[in-house]
Amino acid sequence: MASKKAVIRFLLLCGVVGLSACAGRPPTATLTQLSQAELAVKQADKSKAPEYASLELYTAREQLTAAQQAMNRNDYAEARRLAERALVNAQLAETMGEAAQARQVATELQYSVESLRREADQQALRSR
Amino acid sequence: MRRTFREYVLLGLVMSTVVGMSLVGLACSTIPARPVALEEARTAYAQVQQDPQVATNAPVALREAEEAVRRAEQTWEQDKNVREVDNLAAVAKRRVEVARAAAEKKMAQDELAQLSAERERVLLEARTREAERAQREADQAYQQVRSVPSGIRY
Repeated sequence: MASKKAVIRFLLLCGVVGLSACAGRPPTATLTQLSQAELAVKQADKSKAPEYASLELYTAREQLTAAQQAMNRNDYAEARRLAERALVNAQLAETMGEAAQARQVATELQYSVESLRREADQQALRSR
Repeated sequence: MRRTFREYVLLGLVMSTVVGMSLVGLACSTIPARPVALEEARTAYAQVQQDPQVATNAPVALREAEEAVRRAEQTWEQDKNVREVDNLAAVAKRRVEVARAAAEKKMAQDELAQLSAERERVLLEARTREAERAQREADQAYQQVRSVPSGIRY
């Protein structure tokens, strides 16, 4: 009888120890993923993304927030998944922003070159 | 005669029910179905792979997209974790879009460099032409001065 009680106590202890081990520290890989995602979102925020790729940046930010919330309720698998999504969306926003900006500057330069050439042609006609 | 006809109808009903049930059973037994997102990611990558502009202008991003698709495929083959595979497939689709955006960025930057050189060239031409004109005018003025009779010159 006494030994049975001891066994139950031992099992309970094992359970408590196991649970606390689970809840204690999140996996390092998840932490790394999350900080990478945070960094990517921060970087995209500073780039041309808010101007040219606001939807993608918004999605990334939402996913990052969701990942942090999942982390807080110890759902590490979900936190990692959301962090992966946030990271790629932040990188997409940044690249799209840079592409759009380069395209815009190129278009402006195109106009500038064309008007310069017209001016030069007129000048050539006058000087003849 | 009438009785056999009724029997045929009954038999047909029973047969069709059996076939229908077995079809439903078959559909249920092939668990779990291949995620749609995985197919979409694969199709998206196949399309971007065909694009020569992406291959030449964003080879690194294209490789990353390929790796993301392969990771989703492998995860599906190894353990049929639908949530994990759905997520990896979504990431892979985004990687394909990143490759497209990276190619667009590179092309726009190349165009920008080309246009800058073009602008320099046009400016230089205009300046050269201006200098030539000034030279010509100076020559003409000199000729006019020379053509004046020498007595008046001083």
